[in-house]
Order: sequence, then structure tokens, then C-alpha cells
Amino acid sequence: MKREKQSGKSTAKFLGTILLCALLGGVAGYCAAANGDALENVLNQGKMLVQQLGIWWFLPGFVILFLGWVLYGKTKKLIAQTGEDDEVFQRCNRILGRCMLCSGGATPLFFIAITISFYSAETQNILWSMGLAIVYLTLLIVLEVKAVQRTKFIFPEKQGDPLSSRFQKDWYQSCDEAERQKMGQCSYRAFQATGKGFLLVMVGMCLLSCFQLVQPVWALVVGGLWLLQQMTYLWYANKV
Amino acid sequence: MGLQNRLKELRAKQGLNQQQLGSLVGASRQTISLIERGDYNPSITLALRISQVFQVPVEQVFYLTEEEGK
Repeated sequence: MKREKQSGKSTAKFLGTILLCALLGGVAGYCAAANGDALENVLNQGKMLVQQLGIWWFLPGFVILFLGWVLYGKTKKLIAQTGEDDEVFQRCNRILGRCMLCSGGATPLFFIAITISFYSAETQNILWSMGLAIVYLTLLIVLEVKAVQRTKFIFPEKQGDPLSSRFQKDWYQSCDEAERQKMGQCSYRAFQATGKGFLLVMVGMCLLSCFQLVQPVWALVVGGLWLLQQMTYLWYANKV
Repeated sequence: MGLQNRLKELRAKQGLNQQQLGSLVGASRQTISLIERGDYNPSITLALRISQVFQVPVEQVFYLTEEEGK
């Protein structure tokens, strides 16, 4: 009885969401049609702003890298005491985790920065972009290697060379059951978040494409990535 | 039903630290810490390995309580 009631609630919620989305889509479509030129202007201004920022796109990545290096530095004193003190070990592990979070975030930011700055650079700025890219990449790779080395110091059973293409596979194989379970939970969260992200971007592109404000190639790129994500998940779900 | 354990107590009795126990049972130090804090329920294999190290039946290390499990 309780289950039936819950199922009814879910169906009502689902239908409500669909109706709300249809309504919002209709309103958004009407507004876009009524203000087609204005929307195009906004998109063009946005595009110009993105391009004008040029090499400044490196800034967020450098800030994150700087934070990563500060966190890495914090573990220097702690690392020696991790052997005897479990509390210090936990603290050191937490800080190294945050450090890896910074280096993980800095990688996509690097590609965003380098793509936009190269696209919008005039000849003299290309040299600046290349110089910044080299410094950035050096700081990023050295941070990643050092953070992994320090993590391996507190987890001596861990395997894998961060400069090798087999790193992720070797690391995973050296993880125990609890760590693998955690990786599964994290992967599920990442799958959920990217799934929602792809859906939102595709809906936005559908609306904009009605007024030829989005190049069709973007639908292929985003849709292709979404397809890759879904098929990889489902393939392995059915295989295991 | 919640799973509880006497891991910390037994480990202290044997004079082992988390790293040493982890090496003996093939788990990481972090996993031993998670089990001790009740944040991770080990598999049957790992629970049996742990009880083997302490040379006690598994029920003396892990036991169920009436509280709601995590």
C-alpha cells in the first residue's frame, strides 16, 4: 500500500516536472522568437567578452595551482610524523586529497585557457600564451608528480608512475576493497553530474538552434560526448 | 541492525598500529581507520582475515547491534 502510494507520488512528480519543463521551454522559445536579434546580440557580446579576456583565462588555473602548491607545502612537516600518529596521518591524507583536487581542476582549466587564448590571440600575444602555457604545464605536472609521491609515502602499498600512461590502471589495481568502493561511489556522482550537465546543455542548444544561434557541429560534439558517457556506463553495467 | 567492532581495542592489545594491521590483512591504513570509525563495513573475506590476525572468532571482532546501521 505504502509502495503504491509512493509510486503514485513519483508519477505525479514526474508529470509535474515534464509539464513545468514544457512550460518553461515554451516561454523561453517565445521570448527567444520575440527577441531574436537581441539574443543574437547578447551571444555576440558574450563571445567578444570571452575572446577579449584572452590570456587572462590562465588566471583561475594559476590561482588553483598556487593553492595546490600551498597545500602541498603544508604536508612537508606533517609527513614525517604520519608513521606514529594516526591523527596526523588523517590530516596529511586530507590535505593531500585537497591538493589533488586542485591539480585535477587545473587540468581542464589549462585546456580552456590555452584554446581561448590561442583562438583570440593576435600574433604578439601568441608568444605570451605559449610562455604561460609552458609555465602552467610545468607547475601542474611537477605538482601532480610530487603529490602522488607524497601519497605513496603514506600509502606504501600504492603502485603506479604518474608519468606513465598505465598510472590509473596500476593505481586502481593497488587499491583495496574500501578504496574501490569509494571510487565506485565517486564515479556514480560524476556520472550523475555530467549526465545532468549534458542534458541542460543539449536543451539550451536545442532552443538556440531554432533561431540558428548555435552551429550544428556543437550538437554533434556535445551529443557525441553524452553518447560516449552513456554507452560506456551501460556497456560495462551489462558486461559485469 | 548496525555493525560494530572491537578493532581498535584488539589492535591496541596486540601492539599493532593501523599500518601494520593493514599490511597483515592486505588493506590500506585508511581502510583500517574507516573500519574502526564505523564508516566502512568490511567484506566477509577481510573480516575473516582480521579475526585470523587476532586469533579470535570473527564475532569477537565484529558484532551486530540493534541500532540503525549507517
